[in-house]
Amino acid sequence: MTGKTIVVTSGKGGVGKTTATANIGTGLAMRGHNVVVIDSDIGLRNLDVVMGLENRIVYDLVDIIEGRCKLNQGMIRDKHKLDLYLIPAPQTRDKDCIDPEQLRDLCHKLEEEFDYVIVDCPAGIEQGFKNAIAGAKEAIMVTTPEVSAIRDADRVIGLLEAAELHRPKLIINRVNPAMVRRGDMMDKDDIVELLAVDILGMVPVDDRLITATNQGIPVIHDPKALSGAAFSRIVARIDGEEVAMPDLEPRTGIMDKVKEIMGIKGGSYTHA
Amino acid sequence: MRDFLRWVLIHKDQTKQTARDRLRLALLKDRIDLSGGSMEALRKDVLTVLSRYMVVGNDFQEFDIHRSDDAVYLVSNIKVEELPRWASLSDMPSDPATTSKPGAWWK
Repeated sequence: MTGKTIVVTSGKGGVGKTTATANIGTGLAMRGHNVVVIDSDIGLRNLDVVMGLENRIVYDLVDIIEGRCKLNQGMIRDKHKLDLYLIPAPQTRDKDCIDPEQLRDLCHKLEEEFDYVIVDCPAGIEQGFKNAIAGAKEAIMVTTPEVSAIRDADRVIGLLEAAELHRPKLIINRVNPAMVRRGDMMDKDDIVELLAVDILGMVPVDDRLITATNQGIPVIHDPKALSGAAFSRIVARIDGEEVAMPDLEPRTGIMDKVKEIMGIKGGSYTHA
Repeated sequence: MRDFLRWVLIHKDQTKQTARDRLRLALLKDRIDLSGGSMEALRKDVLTVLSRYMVVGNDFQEFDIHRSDDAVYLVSNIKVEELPRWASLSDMPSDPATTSKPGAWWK
């Protein structure tokens, strides 16, 4: 079996890389794939708490790479009994303690056992970034609809291209449909045009994502969450399925009708 | 009229366009900063193309990216040393690029 390594990256921190990694990994496992997610943010581990596995960590990524434990000892199984495993980052080491070749070799080894190896990349473009992308065949870029995040995404897309990771796919996270409707937030067309990349999906800003994360449960498990549904569509697209990207759904309020008639309705979407 | 109604209903300018314009310019500037050696390649290409139409100084007096607050400009000053005397417009080859020796066809 030959799996595929995908790196989830962004440039700017705090845009939702780790949340995206947890949900993509979980979603692929829910579709019946066996998946391993790797937290490569050495010194600033986070993927474990987002997945609710922080109390089960014994060994970590560097223990595996340096041979202090066997590969299967260093992988923590997801608590929902999915075929999903986490390799956590060490908290007490720094990013220079591994090099890109070591992580690439580990990814290749994992590809023999798993359908998908998902690497959560640290923010920034230094050593940790170079480590994280080393084993990847594909890249997913996460951004928010803000000038600073998109600008950093552009820089990272250039670095990915230079590393032969062509055509990264874009996830736009924390889209506020009401603000897009009012014309106070860039929409997917603006961002896709400026970055010249393919879009993988949009995730709306969602309180349910925060309450799920509070409990250490990826929101894709929550059938009522719009953000979870958005991640399900993203996962289906990664899995090769054609899923429509709902864009602007008309609203039914009286003022919206008035605005529509006068041609100034921006429309609205609940999710995409 | 529509703009007026938009103003009445929305009461303020949309900030999306501001974000978009600022981002577009920031990306332009970032990409230029990173382009490094490509300015020299562009200078050579511009010289080659101009030479099909006129004789110009080899060393451009100016060939730089200039930035203002709202745009990025390519600014160049190129000394023209010799120009062809056209008998008529029909003397001009329809596609100087196809001439074998750039700059030589009109001498």
